[in-house]
Amino acid sequence: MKKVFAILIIGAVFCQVACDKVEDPIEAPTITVVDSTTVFPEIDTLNINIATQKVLVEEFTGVKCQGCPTQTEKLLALQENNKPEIIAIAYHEGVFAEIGSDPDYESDFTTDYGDAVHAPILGDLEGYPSVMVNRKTFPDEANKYTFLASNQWESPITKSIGQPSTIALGVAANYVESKALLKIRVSAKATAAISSERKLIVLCIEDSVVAEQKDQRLDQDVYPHRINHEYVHRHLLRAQVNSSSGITGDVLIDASGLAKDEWIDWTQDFIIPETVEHAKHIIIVAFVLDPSNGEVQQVEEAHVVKVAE
Amino acid sequence: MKRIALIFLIAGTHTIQAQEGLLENIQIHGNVDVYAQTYKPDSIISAPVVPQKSGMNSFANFIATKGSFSAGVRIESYMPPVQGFNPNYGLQPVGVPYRYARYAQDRLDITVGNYYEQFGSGMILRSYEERALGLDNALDGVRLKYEPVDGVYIKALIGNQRFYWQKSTGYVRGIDAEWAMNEFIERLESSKLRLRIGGSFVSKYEDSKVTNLELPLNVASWAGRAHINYEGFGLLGEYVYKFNDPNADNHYIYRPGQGVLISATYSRKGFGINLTAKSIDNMHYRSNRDAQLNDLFINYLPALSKQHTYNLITTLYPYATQPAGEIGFQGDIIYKIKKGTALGGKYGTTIQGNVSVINNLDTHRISTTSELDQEVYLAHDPKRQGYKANLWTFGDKIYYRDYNIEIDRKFTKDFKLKTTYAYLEANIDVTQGTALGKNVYAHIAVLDGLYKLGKKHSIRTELQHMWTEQHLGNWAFAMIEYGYSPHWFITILNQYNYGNPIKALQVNYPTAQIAYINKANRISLAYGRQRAGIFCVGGVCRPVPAANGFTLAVTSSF
Repeated sequence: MKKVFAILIIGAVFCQVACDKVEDPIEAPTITVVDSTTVFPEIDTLNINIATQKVLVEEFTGVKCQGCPTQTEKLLALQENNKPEIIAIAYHEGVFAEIGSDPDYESDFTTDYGDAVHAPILGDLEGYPSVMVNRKTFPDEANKYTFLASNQWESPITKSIGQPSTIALGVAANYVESKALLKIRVSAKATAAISSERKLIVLCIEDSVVAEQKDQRLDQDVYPHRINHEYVHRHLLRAQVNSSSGITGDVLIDASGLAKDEWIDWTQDFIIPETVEHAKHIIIVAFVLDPSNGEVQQVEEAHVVKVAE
Repeated sequence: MKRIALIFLIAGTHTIQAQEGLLENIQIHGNVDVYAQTYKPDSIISAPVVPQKSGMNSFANFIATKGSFSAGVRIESYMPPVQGFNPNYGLQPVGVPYRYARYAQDRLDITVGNYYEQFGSGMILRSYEERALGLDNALDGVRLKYEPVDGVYIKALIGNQRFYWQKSTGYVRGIDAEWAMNEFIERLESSKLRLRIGGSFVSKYEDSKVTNLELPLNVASWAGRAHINYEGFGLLGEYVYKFNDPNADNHYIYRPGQGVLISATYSRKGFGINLTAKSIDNMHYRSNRDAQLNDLFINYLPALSKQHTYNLITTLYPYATQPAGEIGFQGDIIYKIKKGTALGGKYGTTIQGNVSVINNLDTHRISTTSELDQEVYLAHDPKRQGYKANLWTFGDKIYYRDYNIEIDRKFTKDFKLKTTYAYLEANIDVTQGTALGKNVYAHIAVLDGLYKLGKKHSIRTELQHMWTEQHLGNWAFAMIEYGYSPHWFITILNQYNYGNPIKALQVNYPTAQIAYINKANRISLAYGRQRAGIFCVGGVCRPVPAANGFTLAVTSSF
C-alpha cells in the first residue's frame, strides 16, 4: 500500500503544477466616459492659490510596515501645522505592501500607478516609510531624492513651503452617485510666462480607509501579531485618473508654452474604481510636472462634491 | 523504392527466427497494407483532375520480440496520398513515423518512443490510429505502466503527438490509476459483484502565441470513472472536466469543458439491452490550440449513434460527434427468438432495435462569435466565458435521430436474409458543414440475402433504397457478390441517385471488384465511380472526394 500512496502523492503533485487557471483573459481598457447629462464643476478662479507652490509629499509605506504608523503620524502633524501647503499621497508599495497569502492581511493597496512610480526609485530607498518631496533632488540635503522617516524629510518639506511658482492650479470634482462617476476639472493659470512643455497628472485618493496595519507600538496581547484591524489609512492612492496617457500624464501646456495670465482648462469623466470604499472620501490630486527634469511645479487637491441629479 | 521492395520481400515470409548470436530466438511479425487509386476526371460527378493521376497509401509494421523486450517500426509511404486523405502526408513520400522499444517484466512495463494509449473511455485521453480516416495521433515519448499490488493499475506518460510527418509543439502529460476490487481483495475474486474505479489527470503544455489574450500554457483535465457489474447487469459512468482551454475551435473562450457518459446494460441468453446517455460541452482538447479538422486531438468522444454497415446509411448521413457541445442518448435492444418456434422458425430469428437521439446543448450566449473573434476586452463578458449552458438540458436544435430495426433470419440451411429499416433525421449543416438550412429526413430499407450454392459457391445480394425529399433526393443501391470459397470474390454494385432534384446529377455510381484471399493475404482490385461524401468511424469523419478509376488494396500479415 505504501507504494500506491507514494505514487498517488507524486501524481497529486504533478496535478498541482500542470494547470494554469486564467482569471482575467484580457486586461480591461481604461474607459473614458463621455457624459453630457451632467456638467463639469466651475472653479473659483479668483480664489485659487497663485501666491506660492504647494508641496507634494509622496509617501511609500505598507500595511506590514510596523514602524510606518509612527512616522506617518509625524507627517500628518507637519501637514496639519502647515495647512494647506502640504498635499500628501500614500503609496503602498514594496515588501511591506505585498500581502501574498499571509492570512493576517487582506488589504492589497498596491496600484499600477504606485508600482510605476516605485520601481525606478527602488535603488534610492533606504527603507520604509520614505517620501519624495516635489520629486526634487535637494542639494542641501545630501543630494537626496527620497527621505527615510521624519528626521530626514522634515527639513526638505519645510524648506519647500512658500516657494514661488510659475503656475497656479484649481481643481474641482463633481460626484454623480447614480453613475459612480466623477466629473473632474483642472484649470491652470500661468503666473509667469512659461516657455516649455508641462504635463498634468491627476490621481484619485481615498482618505480615511479603515483596514489592518502592523504597528510596533501595539500590545501583542490586545492586538495579535501587533496588527490593528481598525487603523485609519490616510491619503491612500486608489488610481490614476488620466491613466490613458501613461504615468507621465497628459500634455497640459505644449512646447510652445503659455503666456503670463493665460488659462488652460482640462476636464475628464472618471468612473470611480471598485476599490474605493466610500466615494465621499475621495480627494482628487492634480500636479503639474516639468518633463525636462521631472520636478513638480505645482500641486492642488479637492474633495469631491456630490451633485443633485 | 528499395525500401518498398524490401517490405514486400519480407511480407512474403512468415515468422522469422534468427539463429545466431544475439538474434537467437527473436521473433518478428507484422503486417503490410497497400491502398492505391487511379484517377481520371469525371465532370458528371465532379471528380477533380489529379495531376499525378494516381495515389497510394501504404505501410508496413515490423515488430521484433525477445523475452521481455520488444521493438517495432512502421514504415509509411504516400506517393502521393490517396484523394481525401490530408495532403500533409505527402510532404514526405517515405518515412518511419512510428518506432518504439518496450520492456515489460515484474509488473513494470516501459515504452520509449511511439505508443498508443487510452484512459477510460478516451474522453480525457486517447492516442490511437484509424487508418481509414487517415488519423494517427500517436504519442512520442515515454510511458510507464505499473501494477504495484494486485488490482491496482497505474499508467503515466509524457510525449508529443504525431502531426503527419512532424510532431505537435505541445507536450501531453498524463497519469491514470484504476482499482479493480475483485483482484485487490482476494476473497472477492469470484464474487458476482465486479467493481472497477479509475481516475485520470492529463495536462498539455503549449507555448503562447502572439495575441491580446493571456493564454494558459498548461491546460489540465481530470476524469473519474466507475464500472460495476452484477450478474447480467452492468453500469458504467465517467465524468471529465477540462480547465480553461481557449482555442480556435471555441473562439478562444475560457469556459471550462465537461463531459459525462453513463451506460447501463442488461443481458441474458438471447436478450440484451443497453442504454447510453452522453453530454458534452466545450471538449475540444488538442495539443495545439490552433489545430483543426481531426488533427492533434488528445481526447476522443465516443459516438452515440449506431455504426451502420450498409452503404447508403453509412456514407450519406452518418453522425459526426460534436465536441463543441451535444447531448443525447442511445438505446439498443437485441432479442433472439428461439429456433423451432412459430416466430423463430427452424433456425431462429434475431431482432435488433436501436434508437439514437442527439441534440445541441441548451446554451445561452454571453458574447457573439464576431465579438470573440476580435480578442478584445468585453465588458459584458470580461472572463470570456462565451456562453452559459447546462450539461443536462437539451437544446432545441436536433442534430440526429436514428430509429432502426434489423431482423436476421435463416430460412433454410442455404438461405439467410437480413432486413433493415431505418428512419434518420440529420442536421448535415452541423455534421457535414453544408448550408442546407434544414434537416434531412430519410427512410432507408435494406434487404441482404445470402444464398449458398453448394459447398464452394455463394451469392450475396444487397438491395437498398433511401427515400428523402431533402438534399440529394432518393437513392437506390444494388449489389451482387459471387463467392468461390475459399479464395475468390467478385462483386458488382451500383448506387443510383435517381431522385436528385437536378436532373443532370441523377447519376449512376457503378463499381466492379474482384478479391483474392489466401490465408493472411487479401488482394482486391476495383474499378468504378466513388461518390463524394463523408466517411465516419466511431463518430469521427473525413470527407471523401468524388473519384473515377481503379482501386487496388493489398493486406498481409506475417
